[in-house]
Amino acid sequence: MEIEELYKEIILDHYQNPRNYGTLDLSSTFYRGAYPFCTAEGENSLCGDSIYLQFFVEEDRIVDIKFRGEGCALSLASASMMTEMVKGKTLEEVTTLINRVKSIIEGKEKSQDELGDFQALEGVKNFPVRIKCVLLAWTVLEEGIKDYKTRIKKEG
Amino acid sequence: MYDAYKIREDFPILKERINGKPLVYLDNSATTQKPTIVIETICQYYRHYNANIHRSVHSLGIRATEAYEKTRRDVAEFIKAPNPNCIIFTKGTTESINLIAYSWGRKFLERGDEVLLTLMEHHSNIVPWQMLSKERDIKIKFAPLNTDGTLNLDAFKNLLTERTKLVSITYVSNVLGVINPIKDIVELAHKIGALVLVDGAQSVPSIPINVQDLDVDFLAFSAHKMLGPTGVGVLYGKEELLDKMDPFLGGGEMIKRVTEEDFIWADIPYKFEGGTQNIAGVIGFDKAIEYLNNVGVESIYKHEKSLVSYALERLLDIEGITIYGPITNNSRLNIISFNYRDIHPHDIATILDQEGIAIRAGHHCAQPLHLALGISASCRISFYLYNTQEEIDRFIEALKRVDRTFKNGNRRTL
Repeated sequence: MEIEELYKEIILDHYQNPRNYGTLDLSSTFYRGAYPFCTAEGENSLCGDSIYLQFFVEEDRIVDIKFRGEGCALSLASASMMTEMVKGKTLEEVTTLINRVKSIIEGKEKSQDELGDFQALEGVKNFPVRIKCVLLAWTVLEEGIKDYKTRIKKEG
Repeated sequence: MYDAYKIREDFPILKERINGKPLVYLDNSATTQKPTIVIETICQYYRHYNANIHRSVHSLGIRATEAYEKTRRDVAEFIKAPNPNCIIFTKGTTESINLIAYSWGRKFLERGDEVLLTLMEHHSNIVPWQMLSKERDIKIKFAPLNTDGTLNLDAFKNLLTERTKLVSITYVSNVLGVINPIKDIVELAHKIGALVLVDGAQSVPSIPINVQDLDVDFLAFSAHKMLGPTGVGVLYGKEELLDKMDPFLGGGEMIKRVTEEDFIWADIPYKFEGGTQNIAGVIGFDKAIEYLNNVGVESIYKHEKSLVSYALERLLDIEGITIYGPITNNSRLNIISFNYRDIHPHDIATILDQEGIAIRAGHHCAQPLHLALGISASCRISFYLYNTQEEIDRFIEALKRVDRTFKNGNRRTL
């Protein structure tokens, strides 16, 4: 496999111009009805990549999401694409998507070209040590959703 | 005349092709490759005289024990230890340091005592002390570095107090390649009554060591970073200190006598070698030492110095390179860590790997140092006796091409 197949144009574009990068503006009226405000962070201890996520949930739907992070092109491009993919989706849809993405990247399932830009990252399955980089943002989001659900349960 | 090309013939792995390209192995600080003689010796042991040591009266056991103990004598000679009893086999540098923290630290350190480290330590010379400090309420101090990455000796002196019981320091930084002035450090420490533990993982493979001349109290190093197998390490300690320490692992081999009520432990070095050791590994390690002696550690040192000078010169020629640590070879051994523009080290390592070039990317188990440098990761190249200028050229050309993959230029500043 040629290296260009891993570092495709679209991946570099997301890396160099990440979407939804930064932090949410908590004072904005847009978020007033949204509840709750969630954060999650995680790092790849092997290499020091880190991802910090913020998202709002309203009526079981991720209404907005932002990320900050440090890391390689693959981990940041993946995070950028992820924020675009999950925004507006219900938590259930997002959880299904996370599982699907994991299976595809780990080479257990083949994609049906349904993942949009993210499709470009599928090539990482030929670079086993880099799979963790691509999945970092996704596992952080997974944790964030879990935390959110436990919180909701506790608060009734 | 030093001939790296001739040396290469003894290392079968160097003929491998990686992704269709000849291997350029520049990750020697992580582990070195093994010469045929080491690989063969390990096979020979398993094929012809595999037996447990020290406890079998049969011929195989005697032969295995002799070979194992020969390594101890040769290691002692290699670092000029006064006698083989000062040499303890462990699983690696990490275990050697943990052994000191456990067997010496737990016995002799009290609340308020201080252990002085430096900011350039590997996690294996930080975490054991942090674990101990939680248990014993001891204080850990870090000596800072100068802007060129060398140890700030003045600050180091100021941090030495009468409460300092141990200075635990690396001889050569596994990130910066910086060589610390161990002899001066030992003198300073001994003046105030502190002991000195030296992490020799990066230095013993490349610098002729005389533990008696340096007067270090403990020295820890690993076989696999000096042509030997993984899973074998050494702890050297002054005999009187080792004698006073309690055992590390309880079990077979480390006792003189066991009753239902109690036990009497064995003398050094066996006191610290509980359980069946990595016999094949230790026997293989002997051949690694023999190989290094034949080439000559002094010659290896000079070879590495010339490679590092050449690599520094070529790297500094590239626009957008940041090199960590000194940019002359005066106080630097065989290691160069760097960043290239704002391309993440992982991306660089993956792209170079496609060219058959193996480098390390990450924090190299030295997060406090990376934090002090203000970065989360770096690329690292490290040389050993079989590397050549030609390989450095291939690495430099490939590095320049990394840029092409990231064709759009710099990442937008966030």
